[in-house]
Amino acid sequence: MTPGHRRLLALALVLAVASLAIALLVGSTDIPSAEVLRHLLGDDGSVQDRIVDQLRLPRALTAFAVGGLLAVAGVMMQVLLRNPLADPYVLGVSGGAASAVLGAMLLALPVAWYTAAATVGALFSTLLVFGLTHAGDDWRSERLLLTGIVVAAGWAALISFVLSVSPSDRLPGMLFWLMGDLGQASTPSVPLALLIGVLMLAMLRARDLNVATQGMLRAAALGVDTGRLRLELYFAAALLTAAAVAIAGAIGFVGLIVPHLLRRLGGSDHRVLLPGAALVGGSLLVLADTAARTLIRPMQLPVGVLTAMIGVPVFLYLLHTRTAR
Amino acid sequence: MTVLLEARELRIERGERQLCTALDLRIESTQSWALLGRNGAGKTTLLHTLAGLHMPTAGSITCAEQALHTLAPRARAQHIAVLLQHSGPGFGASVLETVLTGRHPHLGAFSWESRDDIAIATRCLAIAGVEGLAQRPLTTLSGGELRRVEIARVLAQQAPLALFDEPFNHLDIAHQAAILRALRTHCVGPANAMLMVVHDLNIAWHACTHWLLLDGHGGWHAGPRDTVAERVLREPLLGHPVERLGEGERAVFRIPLD
Repeated sequence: MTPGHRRLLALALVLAVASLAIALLVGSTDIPSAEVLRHLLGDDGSVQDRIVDQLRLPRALTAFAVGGLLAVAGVMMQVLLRNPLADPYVLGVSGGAASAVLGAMLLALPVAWYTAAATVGALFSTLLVFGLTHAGDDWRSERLLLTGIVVAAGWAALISFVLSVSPSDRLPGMLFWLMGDLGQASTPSVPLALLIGVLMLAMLRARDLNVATQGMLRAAALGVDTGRLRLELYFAAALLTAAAVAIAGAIGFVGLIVPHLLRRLGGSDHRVLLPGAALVGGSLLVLADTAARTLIRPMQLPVGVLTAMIGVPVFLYLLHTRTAR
Repeated sequence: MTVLLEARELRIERGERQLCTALDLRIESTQSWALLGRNGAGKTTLLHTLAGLHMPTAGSITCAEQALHTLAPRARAQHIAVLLQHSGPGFGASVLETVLTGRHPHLGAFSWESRDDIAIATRCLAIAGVEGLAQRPLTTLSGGELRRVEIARVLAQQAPLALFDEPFNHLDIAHQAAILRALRTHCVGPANAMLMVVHDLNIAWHACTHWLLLDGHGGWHAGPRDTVAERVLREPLLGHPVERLGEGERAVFRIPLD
């Protein structure tokens, strides 16, 4: 690890801690920072205590986990498709997962089914995009993006269909969830455990990923079992996306912005990029969510609106600079 | 002298076409092979097959006293290094990071490149004449520079057998000469051998001890360069007559145009 790598990871860690602290300190109820710390450590049964322990903390941790999941899924898809523009949202994977969850909502299935539905939707959507894009030994960038965008449009149409036939009392919940919402988040332990578990497994493959960015044939020549790597990346990326969508709805562009930013800062080595993406992706979503629930308080915005507002210009800029080269 | 790679009764097909049939090939240390043939004759496919990246239709390839396809990918990459015909810039990696990936098959899953690995990579950059580019992003290089970085990576892999697919693509004559000298020094020796796809018969003659020629219809000619060169001079195996002026180390191949 070079000093630059260490600096980058330290910076990401500081950012993560700072973002979580801000999320705990800021909200529609003003609680002094000393009080927040006291509520965090002890329990006095007050309303403020419940706000910190049962609302802000779980929500911040869930936001962190979901952001991390999306950013790591983005890194994996970018390697798999050899394209820094790949992102679960852009490629329609989130759309597939969201359609499946909306279907489950329409059928009034129990909430526990959402994750399963999201996983099936994400895997199917990924398979569809990959299957239609795969050409010979390599993936074609333009075809991939076009396929992903068209598939995403298809899911959007399906989503509109489900919304139009849904009973009106369920519509507001569905809409808010669709735009990406962490308001219902309450059990951060599951996504956090998933993030840490997948990250640890991915770290074993980090150097393989470095080699794979230069093409699967070259990776094979350097001793990577590329068939297995592809399969692992495919399932891991779809699973992470599915988990994120099932918890927080379709939040876009985290998987695109975060890896790009880290690469720009000298973190293109996956041994740095993977943990860095988890930390920075988590921080980004925590900050976005904090902004979403405080910008026009006491009203809450869906966090997906905020990430898209940052993500769209970044994506367009990236697309432009890549085509210009 | 050790046998680094042995192919027996090798048959490779692409769709309906026979690229080579019943090929017997033995690459021993101290040898350097030129792989010749017309466009589309199957040189690249054969090179990929010998590297274990492509399964032959029939026949066997032995490497390190083991069937090549049963060798674990990592072990295979420790024995055989490959320069692919096309370079991909990847995204964001620097020249040094790229050459360091040549050390990939020698490192454990969790280990970082050691001081030794970095020293090897730096030395290989110097051998390929790109030491000044170490910190540059790959995306900023010219075609010739990228080619030499790829060659440095193959050298950093330190495999006994190195296979090069058109190593001189994009190189100016000064760099062709320098790379040719470097490959002869570092890839051919008591424990090393190389095989390269080339079109220039002069390079094939002066750089290689053995020639392997694919005729594009499944037939092949393999052996010491003088023997195969005689066939090329007698028959238009490369699709065009060829003349040789002078003998031995002073020989020059000429392609008569009328």
